[in-house]
Amino acid sequence: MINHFAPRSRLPLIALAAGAVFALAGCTSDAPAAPSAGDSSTGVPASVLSDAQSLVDQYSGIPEFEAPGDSFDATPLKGKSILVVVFSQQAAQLVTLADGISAAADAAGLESSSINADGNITAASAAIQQGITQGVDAIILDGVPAQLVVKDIAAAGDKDIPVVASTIGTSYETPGLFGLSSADYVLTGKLMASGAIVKADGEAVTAGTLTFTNPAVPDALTGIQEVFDSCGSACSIVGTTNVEPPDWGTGLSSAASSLINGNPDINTIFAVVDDTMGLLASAGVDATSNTGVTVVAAQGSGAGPLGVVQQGGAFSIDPGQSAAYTGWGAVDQAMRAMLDLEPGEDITPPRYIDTAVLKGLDVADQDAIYGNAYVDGFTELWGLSK
Amino acid sequence: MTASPSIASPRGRTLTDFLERYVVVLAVAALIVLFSVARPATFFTVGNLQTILTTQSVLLIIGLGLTVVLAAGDLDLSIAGVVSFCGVLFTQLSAPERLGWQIAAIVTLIAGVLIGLVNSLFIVRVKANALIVTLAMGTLLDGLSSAVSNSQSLALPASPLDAAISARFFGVGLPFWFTILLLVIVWYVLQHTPSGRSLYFTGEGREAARLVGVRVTRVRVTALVISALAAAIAGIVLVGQSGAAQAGLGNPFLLPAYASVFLGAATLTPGRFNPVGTVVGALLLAVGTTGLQLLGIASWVTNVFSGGILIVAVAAAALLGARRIRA
Repeated sequence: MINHFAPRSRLPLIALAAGAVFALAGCTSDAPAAPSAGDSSTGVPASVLSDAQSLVDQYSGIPEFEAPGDSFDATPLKGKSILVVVFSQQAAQLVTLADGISAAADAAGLESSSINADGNITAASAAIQQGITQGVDAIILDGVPAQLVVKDIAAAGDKDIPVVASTIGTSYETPGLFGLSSADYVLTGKLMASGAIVKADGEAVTAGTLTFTNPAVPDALTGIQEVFDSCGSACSIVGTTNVEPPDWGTGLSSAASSLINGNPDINTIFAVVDDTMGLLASAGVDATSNTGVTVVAAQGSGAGPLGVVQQGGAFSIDPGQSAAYTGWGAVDQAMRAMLDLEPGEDITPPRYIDTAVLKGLDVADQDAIYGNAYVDGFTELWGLSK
Repeated sequence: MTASPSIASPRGRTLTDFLERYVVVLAVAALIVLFSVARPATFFTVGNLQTILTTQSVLLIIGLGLTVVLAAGDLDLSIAGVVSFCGVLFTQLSAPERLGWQIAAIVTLIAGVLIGLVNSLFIVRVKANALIVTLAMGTLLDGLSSAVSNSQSLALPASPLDAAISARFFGVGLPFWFTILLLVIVWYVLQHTPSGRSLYFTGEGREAARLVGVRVTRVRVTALVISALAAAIAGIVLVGQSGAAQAGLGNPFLLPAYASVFLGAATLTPGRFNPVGTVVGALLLAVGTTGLQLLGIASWVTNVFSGGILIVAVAAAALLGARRIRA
């Protein structure tokens, strides 16, 4: 066969293709057009700074247990089975949450088993179907994006198997779910914004945000925006870049650099989960080279991110919540479902965490950071305290 | 075939041949027996079988397409990106106020064909490295998926197609029966038509195939288009099964798809990529994974199992392929 594409003629084709790719990339960028930067000559109103400080102070202590609903007797549920579908055991927060579920199930005398979906939505779907086939008494989704398994949730409902979702935020509604156990990520967003304002100490806050596709992210952004709206022109978000988890290793650093280099006024980066913090160091935003940029993360989970915050410098704010508490909350919801009770308000209370809060604490010890009042709280609520 | 000491006698030869052909099938059977004994109440049930078959449809559709392109001697790493992009595209377009599900499905399938054509343009015409081209295409499609979905999860509007994908026949999801139909077509074409023979000739030696009159370029382009089209179909089935779509939805399928195809190449017609083998390979992975999960074994064991099986399969396929060519 004659090759009509002699080597010399390939260059224009390659150039054309490269141009098309760049054109496509330009046409489909998901970064919003940058609004005008906050006027750095205008400081944050004193009342806003005061409110921010109040919110920070309110949540700086170890969270107390908050009963999600009326107490009930869990003893009739002994021997019932629950299936935990963990979306990915590579996420430390989800593993801690699964451990919390397991501990709570043990305390209540439930039989629990878990399946790791390895980040694969089809595997998560298969796991739910397996739970239905096995006839488990309840299914708990640990980090599984519930909106992507709506049909499986409905199938479980058809077999009267309640499904509880955890860590996906509290404002998300998925048909068929019995209930949620999660942090209030809107509140987390408010804590992030308030922390940034306090840290700026009255100066304008000009921020860039790093996000990814996750049900909790819009909630956190809503919380940030609510605080910023009260701040007037002194607080602004001048750029948002979406970087999906598979690209974190390569994309986060450059995204942060682009945000900072493209907007010289930026003094705050909101990184919506703290797993990303270590990857931002090479963007020139690190603890040792004080660039004047503060990284405000969320989730307060795991020794790695908290260790970075403990060191101080740019990475200094990381409000979060106990994933183990969320796990106990998920079991609470599952038991309410099995007893035909109304769903509880299982919202894991947050803690505002910054370098000062972590001073002298063992960051690997979640109980030292968040306390474990929830263990006694839930067992008493379930009528199981000795 | 070159005789080795271990296969000197005709009887030994027959046994070795049998084991070569059916070792993966035997492994599936052995795992089924093992897990059935260990977990009779949960593993050895009709419900579990139905679940395994239903949930493997997407992987099998991708795997069948991949079998064709690998048999032609090329590779395609863009399949996961195609699944994500086409799933998101179909979901976004199928709302009644947009194109409706029928036109959305057609547009999505055309998109799959176009992606295959672009891949083949660079691989076959420009002679760029297939690994790099398809890897880049997968990355490009991941980006486009985020753009089309605006980095949000999208709910799939209800439609007759959506209902059909969720429907069951003998307790098994319709996509599985569709996959069986696809398997029969691919098997027939590869095993019983001149086109299939041309594909295998091309995969085993392009120059030799060209010299005996095979239109190698056409074969390779067709194979790459089939691979992308299969991934596009898988994208539609995937969002139909889950009821929603988001960027990156197809990414976890890349490695299992390759694992299934290479496991398949180590069975039935050892050393040769074949569609029935691909299905057996996928079943081996699914049975192993499900059984280990039902045993309650730590999840890292499952990953070790999947990775280990793939290494064994690739090695077996390479050894058996070399032996078959020598013969």
